[in-house]
Amino acid sequence: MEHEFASYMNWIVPLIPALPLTAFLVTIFFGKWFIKEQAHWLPILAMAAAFVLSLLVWWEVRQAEEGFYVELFTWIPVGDLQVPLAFYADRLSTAMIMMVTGVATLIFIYSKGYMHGDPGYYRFFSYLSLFAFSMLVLVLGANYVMLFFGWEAVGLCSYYLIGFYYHKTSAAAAGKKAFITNRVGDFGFSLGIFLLFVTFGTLTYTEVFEAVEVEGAGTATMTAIALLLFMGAMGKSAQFPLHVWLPDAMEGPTPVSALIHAATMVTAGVYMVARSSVIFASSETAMLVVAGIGAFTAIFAASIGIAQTDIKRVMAYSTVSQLGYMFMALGVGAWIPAIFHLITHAFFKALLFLGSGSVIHALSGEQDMRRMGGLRSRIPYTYWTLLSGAIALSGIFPFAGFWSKDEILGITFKDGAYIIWAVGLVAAFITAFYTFRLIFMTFWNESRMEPEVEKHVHESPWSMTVPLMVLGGLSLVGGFLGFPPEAGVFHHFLEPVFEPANEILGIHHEAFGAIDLTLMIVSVAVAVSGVILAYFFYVRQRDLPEKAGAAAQPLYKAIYNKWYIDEIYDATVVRLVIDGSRFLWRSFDAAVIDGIVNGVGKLWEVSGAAVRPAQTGKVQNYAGMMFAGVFVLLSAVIIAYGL
Amino acid sequence: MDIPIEWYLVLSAFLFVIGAAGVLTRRNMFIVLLSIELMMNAVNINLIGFSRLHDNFIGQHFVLFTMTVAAAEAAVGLAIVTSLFRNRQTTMVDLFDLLKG
Amino acid sequence: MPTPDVTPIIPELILAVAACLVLVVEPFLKLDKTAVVAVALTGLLAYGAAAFALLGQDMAGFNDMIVINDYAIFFKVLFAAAGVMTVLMSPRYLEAHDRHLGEYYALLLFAILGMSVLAAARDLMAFYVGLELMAVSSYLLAGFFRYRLRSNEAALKYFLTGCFASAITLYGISMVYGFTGATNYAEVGTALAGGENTLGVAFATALVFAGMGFKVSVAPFHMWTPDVYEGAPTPIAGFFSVGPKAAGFAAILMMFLAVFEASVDTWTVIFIAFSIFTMLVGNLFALVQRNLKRMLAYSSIAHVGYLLAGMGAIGQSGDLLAGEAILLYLAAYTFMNLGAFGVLAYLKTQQPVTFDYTLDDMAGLARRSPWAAILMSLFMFSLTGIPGTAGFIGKFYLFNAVVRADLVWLAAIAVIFSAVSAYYYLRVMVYMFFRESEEEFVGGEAISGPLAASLALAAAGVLFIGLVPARLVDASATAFQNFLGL
Repeated sequence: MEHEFASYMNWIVPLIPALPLTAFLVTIFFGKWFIKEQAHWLPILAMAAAFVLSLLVWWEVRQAEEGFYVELFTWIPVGDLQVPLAFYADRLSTAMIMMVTGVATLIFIYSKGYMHGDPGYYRFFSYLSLFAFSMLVLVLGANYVMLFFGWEAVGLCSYYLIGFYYHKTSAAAAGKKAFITNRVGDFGFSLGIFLLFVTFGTLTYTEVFEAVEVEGAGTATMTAIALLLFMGAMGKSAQFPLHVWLPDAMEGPTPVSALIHAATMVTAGVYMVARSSVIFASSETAMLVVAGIGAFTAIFAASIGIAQTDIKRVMAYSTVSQLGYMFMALGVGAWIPAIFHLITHAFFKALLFLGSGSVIHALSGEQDMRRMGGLRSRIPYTYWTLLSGAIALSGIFPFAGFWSKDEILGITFKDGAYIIWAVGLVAAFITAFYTFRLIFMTFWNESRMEPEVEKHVHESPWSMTVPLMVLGGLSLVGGFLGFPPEAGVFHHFLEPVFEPANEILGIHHEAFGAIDLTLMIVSVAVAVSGVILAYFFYVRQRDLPEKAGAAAQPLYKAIYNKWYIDEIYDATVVRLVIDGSRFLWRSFDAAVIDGIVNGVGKLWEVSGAAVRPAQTGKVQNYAGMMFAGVFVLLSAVIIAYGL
Repeated sequence: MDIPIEWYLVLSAFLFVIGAAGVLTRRNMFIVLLSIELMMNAVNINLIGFSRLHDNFIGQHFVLFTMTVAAAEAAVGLAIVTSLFRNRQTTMVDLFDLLKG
Repeated sequence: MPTPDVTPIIPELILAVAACLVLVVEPFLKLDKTAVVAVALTGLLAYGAAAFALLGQDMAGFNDMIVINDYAIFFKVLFAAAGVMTVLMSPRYLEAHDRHLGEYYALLLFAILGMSVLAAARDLMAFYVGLELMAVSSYLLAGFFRYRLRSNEAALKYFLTGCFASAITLYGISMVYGFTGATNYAEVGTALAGGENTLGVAFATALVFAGMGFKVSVAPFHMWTPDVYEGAPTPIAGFFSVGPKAAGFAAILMMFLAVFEASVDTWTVIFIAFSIFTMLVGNLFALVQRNLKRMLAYSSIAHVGYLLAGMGAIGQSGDLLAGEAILLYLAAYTFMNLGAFGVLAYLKTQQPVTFDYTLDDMAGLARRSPWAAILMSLFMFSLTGIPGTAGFIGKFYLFNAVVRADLVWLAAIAVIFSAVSAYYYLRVMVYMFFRESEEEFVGGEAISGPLAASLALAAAGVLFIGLVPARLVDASATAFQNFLGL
């Protein structure tokens, strides 16, 4: 069934990335001298227009099963291979562009308030626009070359934006780290693309997938391609062991963390794997690796999140952990739940970051949660929106995170991957715990702020709170896109995209049943107990000494004794977990993983320094080296030919 | 009496190696220049010898070009030596090692 | 005796006339050398335009010694572009060093003339004359600042190693003549294909390879490169890194495909082995350089390693693709590397005394001179091979051709090395954007005048090739196919 697309699609699809590109060019060239403090208008308008166009595209695409393909011109002709500059708007990329343009618009608006008065104001908006352009090319491209182009370009923008405050050495180092770690992943990714091309002779999505389905290739080849591609995803989406750059990337301004390091760029790996679902589905090994790495990252990063005191770093580890969830889902063939979680995560994680940014803004730049507290009534808008994000992230019924996370857990269970399910469940528990630890430490209890900071606490301007409220609303109700589970609007929309992959895997749909309900109750119970535990640790226990000191009555003594048990727990289990998590973070993460990354670089440098004296500066040694070269060459020739 | 081609080749090979050894070992810039001339002339002998062997003039034409080029190279070489000497008052090639590493 | 048809050398004639005109005009000028620059520029533009006008021609002249065809024209246009960029970035630089003399431009034009002959030669004699014309002019340009010790030393090193290398090449050529009795490429090729003395031919192949390897700085014949680039005037160092290199590859392609076609198995192995060694040496030494000119010199050696891999691919498969990719790579490389040197030349004119091309001198550049920092970043990205830039296109085509020649492992090595190269290229950006300068830097003028035009040309080239490569891909494909049908 061929669907006739309306002819205006031919120009609105290319226009979606073109709009932010225009905004970038105008802002970077005229920003410094002409636009200055008004630099936010054009990028925001361009982004909003792109969002409206995305909705139009959605309106068209939802009427067709197959995607819309538009080719602008031949970009790279290589012999018989023609790589066109072409866009492909199918249901998957449409879902992505709606999310990207929507979230980006909100974050641009937020940045107007957050970056106000920064000397690099125009620069910031131009980079953001460039990023939006690159991200849209990444998801809208019709072939792997365009994907790769966007892939590298978003990395570049991220590099620029992490190091935006370039006078801070830590920011510069973080930017560098992000770039180097990503190069490792990109190296595998580019090899994967090469191998794909060598195997199938084309890089256009539709042609590649058709070739995989119809002809296929050896299992070994498919596994190699899938794993190489996944290596790229591991770098970009910060999966263990290439996750080290993301926490450091928090050195960038907060809107950047929200847009790039939570909602969009880091999910590029998830998008890529989902886009290549047919390729991954053809290799059991690859699927297993994806699921395994995802599950491990989910619990590993979550455990580290407990020990962090920097509000943004908690969020960073949380992002790594949630991305792990998505890969876990992809690995068991739960394509749609993975994308669903990607979208809901974009809402609530962007919200959490922007909310944290609002807190930091209110506290004149303070990021350490130990020096916060009692902010509930001081910055109410921020508190309530942040709370809704936290509830969504914790997976409490019926907020956004619940639907998507529960679905992932449900499918892993029903798939028989019990270990992965259990790991996911524990990670969910820890997630709820650290999320509410953040809320309690920041907003509850008495104030622990520096007096100088406390004097200046203020609610953020409307340009910051309005995006927070919109995202808060989405975090609350966004989950209903996927209601009822596994058969929601979202699922029906994306179903055609993953049909071929599901066919290969032999996945078929089961109706929502009793088992799903049981699993749902289990996961809500786990999430709630995580919240309660956090409450005891970070609200109740803290109050206790005060109350006990005020009135030492028998009633309280009993409570005190109860708490004594808690303190044992605290001293044993919690201490163990926290110490263990600190150990993982300090020694393993910092020493081993960073060590390997830095060590490889060091090895090169050391060997470079070792050979350096060979360049003596004496011209006759140079001539001697040439003579030696000729001598070796001639000897080799003589040996090869035999005198 | 015809001199066989091998004789030319052996002579030329010897001259070439002597020249190369001179370039590699002598410190005085002028000797190095002369050694390079020796290498070029080894080639010239080769070319002339082959020209006789093949009984055509291409080799001899070639020698005219190499000699011209050698003259140009010598001129440039001497100019470089002059300016080196002006700046450093020496023509020992191994003393010039500011640039290295 | 009939008058020879001069059509094949019209562009070269124009260039020679312009070069002589420069020498004639120069004595009549005092301090203001605008007239000389104008003559040189006009000459170069006319040379490029004449070459362009001859596009599609395919004829040989002077006893088949020299030809005009799309292949030669591709290189002539490339040389003209490199020449124009070099000339434009020179005046301010030379003035800052009080050495703005007319013969500089004459020498530059003569060097380009030699390169042009080298790319168009179809006879070992023409080849040799072109090679030496290029080389002798280069020696003088390297030592152009003759009151500076470093420039002096650069000239000395370039000259001695250069003469040594050309003697080795010449010895190889004389052996070729000995085996075949001819110097014309086609005749030599036919004779060698029917010949039997394989060891001797392999010897000659190896000797010519060594000599040409020196010109394009293949390790271990590369050792002059960093010293000469560091000592030579910066625009000249930039010119050396692209011009003679491109001309060298133009000649290497022709030599090994037309003359040594018979010993293809020998030279394929040689090229592959030296490719790996060259990539290793170039990248390893580049990593530890703190002087940007030396870093660029070593990195240019690494780029030669990639190109040699392409030569290996041609020998391995006889595939057209690798040849086209080499042409494309050379074009991309011309713009990005010359651009990088142009930025350095600009910085040197700003601080003739204190700026010493070290990484520390680049610290905080983004703040002092954002445009210089942005341009430098663009060129560094391109050299790294980031998509959207010319460098990516060059590497993409080149490595793709290597893969297609069933040398996947070699392509993998090249990709690994180019990943390593990101470290030292991007380190420059780290310094420019994320480090603060130690001493306070005052004033300085913006990039302007001819230098701005030169950098704009380079940046436009990098972006044009990077974003819409189809035109150039077609051009290099036509050029290379045309050359094969000789």
